[in-house]
Amino acid sequence: MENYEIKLDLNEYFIKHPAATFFVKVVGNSMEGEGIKGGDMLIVDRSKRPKSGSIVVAVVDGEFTVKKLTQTRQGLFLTPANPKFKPVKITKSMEFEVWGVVTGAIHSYL
Amino acid sequence: MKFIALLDCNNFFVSCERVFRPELRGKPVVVLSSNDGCIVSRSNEAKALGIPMGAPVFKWREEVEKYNVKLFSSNFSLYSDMSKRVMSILKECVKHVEIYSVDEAFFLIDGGANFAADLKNHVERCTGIPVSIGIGENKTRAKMATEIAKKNLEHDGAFDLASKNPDEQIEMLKKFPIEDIWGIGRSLSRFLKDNFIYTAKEFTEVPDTWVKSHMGLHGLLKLRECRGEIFENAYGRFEATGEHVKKSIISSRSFGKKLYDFEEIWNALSYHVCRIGEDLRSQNSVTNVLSIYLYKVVTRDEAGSTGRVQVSRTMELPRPTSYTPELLKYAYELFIDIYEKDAAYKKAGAAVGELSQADTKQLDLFEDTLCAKIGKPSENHYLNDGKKQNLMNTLDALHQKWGDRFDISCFPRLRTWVSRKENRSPLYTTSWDELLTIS
Repeated sequence: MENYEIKLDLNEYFIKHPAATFFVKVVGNSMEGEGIKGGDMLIVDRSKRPKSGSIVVAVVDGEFTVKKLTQTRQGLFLTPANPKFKPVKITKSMEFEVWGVVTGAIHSYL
Repeated sequence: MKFIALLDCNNFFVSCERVFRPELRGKPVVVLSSNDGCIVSRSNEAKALGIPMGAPVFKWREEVEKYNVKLFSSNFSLYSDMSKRVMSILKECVKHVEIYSVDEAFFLIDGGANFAADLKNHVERCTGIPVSIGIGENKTRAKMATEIAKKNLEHDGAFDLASKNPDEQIEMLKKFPIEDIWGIGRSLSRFLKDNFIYTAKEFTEVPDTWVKSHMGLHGLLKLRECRGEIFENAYGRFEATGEHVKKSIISSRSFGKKLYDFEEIWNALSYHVCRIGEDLRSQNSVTNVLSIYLYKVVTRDEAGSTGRVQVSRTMELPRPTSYTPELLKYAYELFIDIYEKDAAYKKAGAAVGELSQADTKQLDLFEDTLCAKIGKPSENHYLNDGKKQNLMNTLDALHQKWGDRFDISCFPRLRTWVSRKENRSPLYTTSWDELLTIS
């Protein structure tokens, strides 16, 4: 049975878990290869479990960063998507945590 | 077996700030009241420096500077939003949640400490807010269990008092100070200590009749709860224990000498207002009427034989409240009205009357913060509908935390060192322009 009353809501589209979802603004181009440009807004879900290949907001030694989380034989890395930036290996001496998983990025053309 | 659990956020306002400032973990951080006067939330590191709850920040500026204590002005939008998130996550996980204040909620629990630990971790994962969960046979014991979980790190933030064997329970109660028992306010705990009752364990050993005659029905119910009686009504929900409420509360004291100075007298008066606020909250009441009075020294001719005359002002409050900063605000207005510059005063006091039972969710909204933003009418601040999640009063945290060890007024005019709202963090979750920015 079709519902003729539905109004499309971006919240529903992007946000699966509102209580655990935060919005974050990006500066810089370290992730432009993944389609994230400086000035974009990211939708970050803290309840999602990060996997290798997830784009995450991470905290390294008290500082925020957005990168792709990659697990290889060499170890765990925070990988940028821009040849100008180098991947960072997560070592035991670092304070590292995943703050949340990026589930969407919004680019505004206005 | 279903018991009652309490979820309580650790150092809530500070924790909210730390979600967006992870570099502040492990550091001394405090959050200030709405006029930047008093400290209303402290990180454990700030507590370790000896900074008390409710302290006027200017009195601690040496420590603040020496130890690099990070100061934040209150960011109610943020705290309210984070509170909603915590409660929402909780409601996804358990049934029958009863929100008690901005950072506390009771709920029914089936599982024990392991389930509570998983829940605690889940809430922290989703929101970034560290919480403690205590499980008890009733609300009083649940609160006790939460305190124990908070203070003893070996429990990993979750403690089940109800499932412990009787000997272990007794051990915990022996170490539990009487003044930390929920519902036993300052005056009651002083009275109990005067009668050599210092711990929860000692309290449970007092005969029912003694408690009933000295503490009334309120005290008797509290006694039974401390002993571990299970409270649950037929619907599987739990209700607050019916409590005997006082109809009015008075606090006053003679100065012991003549006082002339505005600040000194306001200091004394605000102390009484704070005590009243605390007593109101400990019996879950709100008041509609506030009075303040002073004993002014006059010649014996004017006043008959006493040499003093009582001057007072009474005001009907715009809305029922037990919220100390609001009571202080009105008390201050009344005080300015009666104070005479060259007069000598011997005594100050405050009183509240027309008390009524507060709902567990006390909404006492500042016009310029939450109320305006959400467009909620300011008269309607009692939500008796336990099923609906509505607007939270972030300031309930102050109700709970501020009253206990508050010993000095936050003098509104003292703003020399830290100015108003100077250190408010961005509206990370309620303003598009103030989002967390990362690279």
